[in-house]
Amino acid sequence: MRELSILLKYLGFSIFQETGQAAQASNSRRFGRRDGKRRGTKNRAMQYITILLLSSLPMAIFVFVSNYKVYSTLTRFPQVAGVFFNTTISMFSLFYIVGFIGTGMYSFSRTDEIELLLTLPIKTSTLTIYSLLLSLSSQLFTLSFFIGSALGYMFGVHEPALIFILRTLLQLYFITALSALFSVLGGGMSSKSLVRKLNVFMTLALVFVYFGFTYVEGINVEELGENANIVRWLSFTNSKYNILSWAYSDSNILVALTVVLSISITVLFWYMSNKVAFENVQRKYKKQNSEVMKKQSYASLFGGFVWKDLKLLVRNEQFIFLLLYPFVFGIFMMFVSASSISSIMPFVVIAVFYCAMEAGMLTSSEMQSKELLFTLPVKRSAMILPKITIPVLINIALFLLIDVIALLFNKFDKVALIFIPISILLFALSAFIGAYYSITKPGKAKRQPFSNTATFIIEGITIGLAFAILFPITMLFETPNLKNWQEITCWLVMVGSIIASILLSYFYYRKLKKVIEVE
Amino acid sequence: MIRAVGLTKKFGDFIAVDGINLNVNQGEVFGFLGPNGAGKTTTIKMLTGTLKPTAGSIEILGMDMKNYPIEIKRRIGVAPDEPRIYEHLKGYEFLEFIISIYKLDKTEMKVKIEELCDAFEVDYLDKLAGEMSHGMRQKLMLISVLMRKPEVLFMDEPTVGLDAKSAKILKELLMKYAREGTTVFMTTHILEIAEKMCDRIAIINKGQIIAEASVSELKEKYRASLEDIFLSLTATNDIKDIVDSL
Repeated sequence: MRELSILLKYLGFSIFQETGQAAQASNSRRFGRRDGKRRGTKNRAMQYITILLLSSLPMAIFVFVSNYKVYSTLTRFPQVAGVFFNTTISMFSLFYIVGFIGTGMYSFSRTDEIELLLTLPIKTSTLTIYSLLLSLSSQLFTLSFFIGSALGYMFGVHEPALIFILRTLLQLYFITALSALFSVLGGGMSSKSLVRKLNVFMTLALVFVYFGFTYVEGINVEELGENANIVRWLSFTNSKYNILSWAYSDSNILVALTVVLSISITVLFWYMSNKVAFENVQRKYKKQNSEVMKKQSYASLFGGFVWKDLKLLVRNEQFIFLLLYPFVFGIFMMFVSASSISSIMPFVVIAVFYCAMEAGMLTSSEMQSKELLFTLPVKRSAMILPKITIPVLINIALFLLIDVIALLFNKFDKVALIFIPISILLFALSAFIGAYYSITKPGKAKRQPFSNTATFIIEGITIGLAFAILFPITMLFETPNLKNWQEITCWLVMVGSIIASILLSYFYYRKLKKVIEVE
Repeated sequence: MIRAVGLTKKFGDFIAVDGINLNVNQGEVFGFLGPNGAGKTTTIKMLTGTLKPTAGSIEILGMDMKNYPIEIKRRIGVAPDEPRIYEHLKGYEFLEFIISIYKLDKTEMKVKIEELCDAFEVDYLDKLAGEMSHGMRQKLMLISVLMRKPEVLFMDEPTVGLDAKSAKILKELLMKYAREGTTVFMTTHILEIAEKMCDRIAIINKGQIIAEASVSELKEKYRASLEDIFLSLTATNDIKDIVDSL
């Protein structure tokens, strides 16, 4: 227990924190403090869990509220409610298992961190529990959805609380044991980047399942009950062969089977973890250098920096999230609303902030290798240009793609075209700000392009201006019979914000130019 | 080839490099020695154009660093002490990035890369830099520099992290390049390397050059081994006393 608490205190859940060269750089910065002040070591695990809980708790509450509403209205259709719940819980369980296994396989493999820990007088069983906790901590977000949904059902359809909570605990234990067994068996097969990508896709999937709920909420429940296709689709997960819903089954045999399975899996897990955990990471086949060098390269075609930055974009799961989230959100909004304007506005408001993050991430990645960068025979402007243009162009492309999709589904509104020049201006401003603050106020962790203060400033400027420009436009074109003073106010706010965006773009462009010459 | 006059670098009140003068000729292997924090890396950074001097002038290959930084960088090669390679690039992608930035002939470079990979036993070009060990990244960085065969080489602790065979190959290769006309400016903590490889050495301590000559001249002057000379010039406490007190 003492060993475990030391591991948690000093290492925390380090798999998703900074690693490799950047960690060394960050450490040297940290240890290079000249003020001579010593700070007590904070419990890293607690810090991590607190942040995660704080960020996932609001989502859990939202899920609980929306589920509660859905299930409250379904009380007249208990079968539909049950089927719907089984579908939800199976889906969240599946997300949990997939996410857990992704992290678990990595944490049960012989990583650099484990390599060091194995040299210390720490029991292997302690390392096993530590790895389990590490995987579990990465699933807190999914878990919050799971619990929010389960509680929503419990209160919505007035299930007996004690039995339902026991069933939920059994379900959680079962899926954790199952995931742990698969993790230890597959330990060593997954790479760190695969684990991270998996988590991003799980997070995205969870968010859109939530959106699905909010969408369902608006549907006439009676129609839902009579809709054979929807019920058929939902009943797929209500089958007696769906192992992920056995804990909630009316059949006592299936519940008992879940208990027996959970115990058996736990025993098997402990047996296997002693045999195969913390073995060397398995690699794919090794390619010969000559074979590797034959690959077609576009470095010369695009220019070294553009090509390199595009590689980062493709390989960084955070990037994929930042691009996919506003895009899919925009598409979703387009389908649930009347016209493309309703989808473009939320897309732009989210994307302007993410555009700054993208520019910041590209710049910060460059700055992590600045010792190399400064030895290269290139002007600093050649280095910074792709950091600005890539996020701007990609976000514009996504904007246009949403418009094209809207056109295909007859939801396109010509007013959306007004947003194009405004979006270009806003994205450019975001990219300048993002690149600037990632140099002047970098984050402490490798994956954090800006400090917390800078993040607030960026959020305030980008989202604030986007909202201040787009909202008046929507008002002017979508609200009939505006009063004169309302119309004048809309024009004033919009024009004022556009002028402010132009001035700020120029201001941050100058500041960025200055700072890259000094760095 | 390398000329520095009154080179100074201040960080606030702290003087890292204090008005040093350097003159390294073509084809010379020049060793730049000094204890930790003496100013070696700061000097190399100024000589390679990655850090602006507070005062003084630098001339590389007859060109002034202030006026021709890009041209100089194109003709020199730098292997920093910490090989920070873009973590998201694979080994071969990093080399292609360098080929693209320096506008080199790809076919010619690929032949050079294969030769150097064989020599340094690099068989991990398909691996991400972020997943490589320090030694692996060091070898990759050396290949990216040596494949161009630049006219002047700046090597900051080049053998750190290398296995014995690779270190030996690198030392021999640097001496071969020097015989062919390449100027090599290197720092090292391993005095044996300096003794065997360098035509001349300079010892820097607290930002100032305290000795500069060939190894044989120094040995003759102080009548001691290079290690004893180095320690007598740079160490403040007697080593024996320190060890005894531990």
